[in-house]
Amino acid sequence: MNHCENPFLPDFSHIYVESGAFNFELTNQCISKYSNATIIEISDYKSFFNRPNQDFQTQKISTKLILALKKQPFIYKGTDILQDGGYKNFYYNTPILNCLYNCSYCFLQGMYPSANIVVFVNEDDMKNEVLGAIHKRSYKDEPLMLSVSYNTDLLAFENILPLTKNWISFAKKNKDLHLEIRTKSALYSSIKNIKSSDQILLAWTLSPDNVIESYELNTPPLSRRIDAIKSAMNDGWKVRICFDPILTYDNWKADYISFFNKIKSEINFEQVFDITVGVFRMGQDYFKNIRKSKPDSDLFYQSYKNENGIVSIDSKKKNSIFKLVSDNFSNYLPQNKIHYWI
Amino acid sequence: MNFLILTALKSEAKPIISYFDLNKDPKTHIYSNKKIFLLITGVGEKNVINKLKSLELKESSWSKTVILNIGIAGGNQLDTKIGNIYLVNSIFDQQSEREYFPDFIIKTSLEEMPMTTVSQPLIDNDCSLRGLVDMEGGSIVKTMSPLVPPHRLIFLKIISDHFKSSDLKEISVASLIEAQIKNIHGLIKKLEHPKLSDRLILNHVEKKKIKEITTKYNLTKTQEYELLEMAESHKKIFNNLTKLESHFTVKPKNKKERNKLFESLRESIPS
Repeated sequence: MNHCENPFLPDFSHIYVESGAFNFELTNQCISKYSNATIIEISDYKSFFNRPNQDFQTQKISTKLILALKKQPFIYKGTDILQDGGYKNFYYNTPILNCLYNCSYCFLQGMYPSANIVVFVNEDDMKNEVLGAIHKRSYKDEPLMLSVSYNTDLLAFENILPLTKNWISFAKKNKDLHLEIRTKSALYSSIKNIKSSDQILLAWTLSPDNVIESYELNTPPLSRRIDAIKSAMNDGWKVRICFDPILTYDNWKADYISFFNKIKSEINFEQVFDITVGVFRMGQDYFKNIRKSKPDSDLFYQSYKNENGIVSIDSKKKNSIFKLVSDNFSNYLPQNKIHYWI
Repeated sequence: MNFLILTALKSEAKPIISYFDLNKDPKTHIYSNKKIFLLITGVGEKNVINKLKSLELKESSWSKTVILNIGIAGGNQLDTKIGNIYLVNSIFDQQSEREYFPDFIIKTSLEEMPMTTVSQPLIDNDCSLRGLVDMEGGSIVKTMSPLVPPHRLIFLKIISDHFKSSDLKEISVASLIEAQIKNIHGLIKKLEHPKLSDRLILNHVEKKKIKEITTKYNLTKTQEYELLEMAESHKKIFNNLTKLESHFTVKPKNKKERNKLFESLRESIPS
């Protein structure tokens, strides 16, 4: 055997399709895109996705794709851990479960028993539910804000399936619907030909390059994310910048100060819609699940506080993070445009 | 990595025993060399479950064990060729109506096929099942999937018949397996990849040390679990257990002292 040869199967070498999910547009697109993939029919995606004893990180070596039908609930009310960015009618949905990236701090590895990616192909069912939620929303004078990229990075998937485009086009037809599309992707090019809309908030998560290298596996480097942001802002899109999570480690402050300086020198903050700031945090059950799988990342072997079932850094560290952000950006954005996850 | 090969029949096992030079342990009836172990389970659910339940492997051994079920199977003649070897990509257990899917991480050149596990032989019955048919797969899944992850529970089947007794008259089980032994060995070599083992933080010696502390200090189950977590964090951060061990030099006289010691541990070592 040639020792340089990659011994592992490529991602999506196998596509598992629920019996009821054949003949949907997204299914056909996937199958034709991965024409060499082995297609395996399954009765219910959970029989594959929820198998016992799976190893998330081993599956990340060669991730498989699952095409399934989403059953109710199609949308969810925002949680305490998810930032609402000031929106009162805040919801999220899950067009995809899991992510192409493999960030060490990501809660998905504790939330799901599998790293394989589930795409729900019955978009219309999800959209109908969103229409109902818009109608029933509590604060009628405000739009419904839907985070479509909560349990995934939707834009990173855009070269595979045009889900971001589809959701943007849906939102444009419903003026009371706003979308937050949170991403680390540099794939803005894939939606560049769409006319910008005030209803859409493109939210880029940014981190220093050393954090990206150590903790955000498979994600684009900072420079490419900044280029994507600049292009999007030039094209008139509303852009949110997320420093989430800001991680603390030896000399973290120096790294983040130079990172903030780089961002301030490259991005015109007059065009930035807002900033959200968060720290490492995770539901205790997810944290325990991840610890049990003995991940390689040092993040899970440090000292944290558990308050009301949420594992996070202590408040002293939190405050020093928030102060650093405030010191660095208060001259660039009004305080009410900087949202902190407390 | 270790390999535990399960075959239903002695005739399936013979060529494997001979190729890998396996020796029988008269007590356990397991054939083995340093890395490869083989157990003959017998045919059908009852035999398989009884045999597998009698397996005594230390818990830690499963963390680096691949289970390979190797044997003959019937195959639909539209999908399969007699004598060919197939990697099973799904198992439907007819009796329990449950599905099982192994994880494929490593590249192989073997053709994949779905399989159905049945409880009665289908020979000369009018069988419309597609892919492969065997009598043990479902039981092996049921018994072994709690012990190993799905990327280390693998089924390799060699087609003996197209559900006709006339096919079986013309074949020799041992020859069918023997003809595929290089493919079997090729797959074993590929599966030896270290990334397919469980991730372990503490080595054998360190685990033993923690066990000794647990016994010596008469720790509760919760404290034992917590100590293990502390030890893992400690190892990850300092690459050894020195600081942790330094807390266990004096034996506490009573439970109160033990709990106090544990409290001080909690404060100084993350878990």
